[in-house]
Amino acid sequence: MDITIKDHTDYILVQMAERRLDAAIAGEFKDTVRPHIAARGPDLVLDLAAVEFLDSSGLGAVIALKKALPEGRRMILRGLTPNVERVFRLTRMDQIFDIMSNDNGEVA
Amino acid sequence: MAGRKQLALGKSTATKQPLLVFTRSFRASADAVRDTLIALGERLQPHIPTDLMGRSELVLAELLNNIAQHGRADEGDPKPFVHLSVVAQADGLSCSVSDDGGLLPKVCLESQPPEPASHPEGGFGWFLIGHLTQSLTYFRENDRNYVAFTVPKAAPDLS
Repeated sequence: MDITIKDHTDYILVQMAERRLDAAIAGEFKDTVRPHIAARGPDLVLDLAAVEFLDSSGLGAVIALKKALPEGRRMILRGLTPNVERVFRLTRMDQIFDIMSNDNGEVA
Repeated sequence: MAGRKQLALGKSTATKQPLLVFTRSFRASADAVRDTLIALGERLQPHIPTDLMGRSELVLAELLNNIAQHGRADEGDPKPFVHLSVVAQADGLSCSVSDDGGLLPKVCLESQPPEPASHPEGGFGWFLIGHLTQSLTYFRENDRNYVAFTVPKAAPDLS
């Protein structure tokens, strides 16, 4: 799985480089990221700009990671492509995340 | 829907579209579902709106992954064998899926979305299917499940 996880001073940046975050990869994605966030403090920025397709298993993995964050820490999503944004919106899970709008000014 | 004739199309539509059909048969594993959806995209993407493609791919992913995950009571049994057929029509994509897995619980077909505040990690699949499709029908015959629906060309409200 193509993913990079970088520690910045006040946040952890997780960049998902796969084009699909789906049932075939959701478990591996969760298991890869979780060890980096559970023990330590900073907020998590999850960059999904490369992801063109997300299904409900992928969504479930993202929600599981949010729940694994230490108390009081935020999970910020950025770079949502239209197909990915649709899943968050239809399921209303956009309500429980901080979602950064894309550079073109379109609110995700 | 599979047997619908194209004869009537001749002069009634300004733009003639070749009949676009995609069919696959496979054992329902998450990897097979992924491969099938990638192949479906390669086949249809050049010919249909991006938005319709995205909605259709999501619906089929939910349906097929449900079969892969829940189609067998015993994990050790071979995964259900699935037949998928997708036909591009003027009003959207007509899809039919059959599988030899277990009975589909009726409650699936009336699924409500989970409550965001509870941070649910699942239970979205049948809500998404119901929301994004029209004319959804389900029946079971000779130990197979049959699900058919249309993903409409025009997106439903709030999608």
